[in-house]
Amino acid sequence: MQAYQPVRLRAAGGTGITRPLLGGLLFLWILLPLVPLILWSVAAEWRAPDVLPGAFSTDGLAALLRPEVLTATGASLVLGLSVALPATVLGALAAFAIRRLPNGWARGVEMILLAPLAIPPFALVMGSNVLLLGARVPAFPSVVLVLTVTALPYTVFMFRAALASYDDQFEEVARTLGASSRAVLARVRIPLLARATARAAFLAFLVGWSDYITTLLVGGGQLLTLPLVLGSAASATGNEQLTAALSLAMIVPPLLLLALLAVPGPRRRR
Amino acid sequence: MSSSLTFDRVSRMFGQSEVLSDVSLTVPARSLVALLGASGSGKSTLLRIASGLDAPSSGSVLVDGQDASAVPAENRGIAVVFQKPLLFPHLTVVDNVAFPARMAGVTRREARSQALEFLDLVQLGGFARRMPGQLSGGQEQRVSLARALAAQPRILLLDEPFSSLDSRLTDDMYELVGKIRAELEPTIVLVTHDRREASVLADTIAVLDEGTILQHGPVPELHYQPATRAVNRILGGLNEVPGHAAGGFHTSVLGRVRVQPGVPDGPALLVVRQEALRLIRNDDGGTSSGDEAPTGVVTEVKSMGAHVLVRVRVESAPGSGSTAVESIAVELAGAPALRAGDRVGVSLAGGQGWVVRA
Repeated sequence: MQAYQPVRLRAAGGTGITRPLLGGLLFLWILLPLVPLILWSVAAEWRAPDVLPGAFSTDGLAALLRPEVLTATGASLVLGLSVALPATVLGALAAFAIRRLPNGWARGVEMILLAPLAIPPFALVMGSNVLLLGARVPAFPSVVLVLTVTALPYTVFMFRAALASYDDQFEEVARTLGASSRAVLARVRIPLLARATARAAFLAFLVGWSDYITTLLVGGGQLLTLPLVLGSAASATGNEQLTAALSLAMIVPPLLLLALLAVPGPRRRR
Repeated sequence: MSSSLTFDRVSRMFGQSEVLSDVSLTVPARSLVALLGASGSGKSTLLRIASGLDAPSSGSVLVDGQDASAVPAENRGIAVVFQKPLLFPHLTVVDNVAFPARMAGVTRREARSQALEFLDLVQLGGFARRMPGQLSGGQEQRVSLARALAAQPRILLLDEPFSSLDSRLTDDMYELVGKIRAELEPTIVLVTHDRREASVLADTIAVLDEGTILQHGPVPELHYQPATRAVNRILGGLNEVPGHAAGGFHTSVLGRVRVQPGVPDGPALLVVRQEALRLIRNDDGGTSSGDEAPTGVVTEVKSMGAHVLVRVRVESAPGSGSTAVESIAVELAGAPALRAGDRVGVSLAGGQGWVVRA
């Protein structure tokens, strides 16, 4: 009798060597563009065709502590949070509402909610700008309003994905165990959707944090955020070090947030 | 505190479709009643209505004789264990079991202390600090049961809670339910499609089919005195022998059998459990032992593990004036030396039969 040989299925990615190799290349593809940025942020002098800067200085990084840059960073932070909060709440409500609709209706509403992704940002901003100016809405709420609409497709998508695997029976069993509607929300629904909420809020925050066009056009110059300072620095010549430092200032906070999201909770599940 | 549960003419419509029709049933305090039926028979809907998770289209649910229709699920004192354990994945095992006490306003420390007692009851005291994802399916269902009991419900509803467990774990769970009944005496309604489970656990079984209760009674009654053919089939009865009832006797290929009193004369089906029949081996190929036992030819011998199911083609007794032929199923213990083609006699243990309308 022939001995039974277990069949080992090969992963679609290839052999044991190619997978980490491809992963490494992907990692480099993402990280490599940051290398010149980091070098430029500390380069006092860097002339072509030199591979490395000829002289180093911390002037660019020190410039990040200037009051106008700090104010702009604060404004970006406030804008990001101001967009994240309503976009996350509305995204969750929309996803729950869509879930209760019959299939055909659900698809229709989903398409409307995803429409801002299909419209070029410039067109969206110009159209809404006319409306907001006519309604005399102040600059900051106007920017938040438009960016919340822009962020909504992302948050709705995150919650739709999470709700696809969400079991309503968790809430039912909680009710039969004595949980009121409010307790069901606080002790069951929100904790079970915590990861999706964090991801949705992160994406919505990014929309506000990194926005340029809406802040510039709808804000009408009254709202100075980090991307506007960066844009201004990048459009001038001889500002490579400051531009690179500002770019890093743009990248680091979201990366820190992302790292925070990736940290597993204190109780690891199998 | 255990309470009685009564469904009083409960109906439930979903659109144009009636899932429950005029269901009336009483579950006495401290008893275990099984709702037995196939998928779509309405048994889970009835359970949802009892728990307050759904409302009847008409009729009412009474707990200890009081109408509970207006009482929301969270205040009914009726806990449910579903088919899936539904342990909250963000809480430890002990915090899952402490959940009902926390909802009742008990401090975390006290709630956990109470929860540990219920975990000990289901023999999982050592798993308190684990996360639900670190438990096996059987352990998860035990914790789910402990959590429901920790709510100290007046009535406990079990909605096919053991159907996804393997047979060994299921037997363990049956033992656990027995232990819980002995220690806490809860009123339990068990929904199941498994007649063995219903028979092992329940005091009485209510057979539900297409939204109607066909019969409710003690376990032996449902097996040996079914009200209808449907009940006989749902309880696994394989024999429905057509014949004629007259003067308290039923005449068919199985001969003249005394039946229950009060049967009107006319066509009737003799329902006789396959376990209640015996085969008489007839080595000479003639009629059996000279008595009036009908004879037939074995057509199939099917193993059912420790039992075998034998199908016998039984002909009307000579001189009976009938030429009817029926296939009769007989379940025998052990491994009898029978083969297709063997001639055997068939006898009814006790000589008493039960008929239903044809």
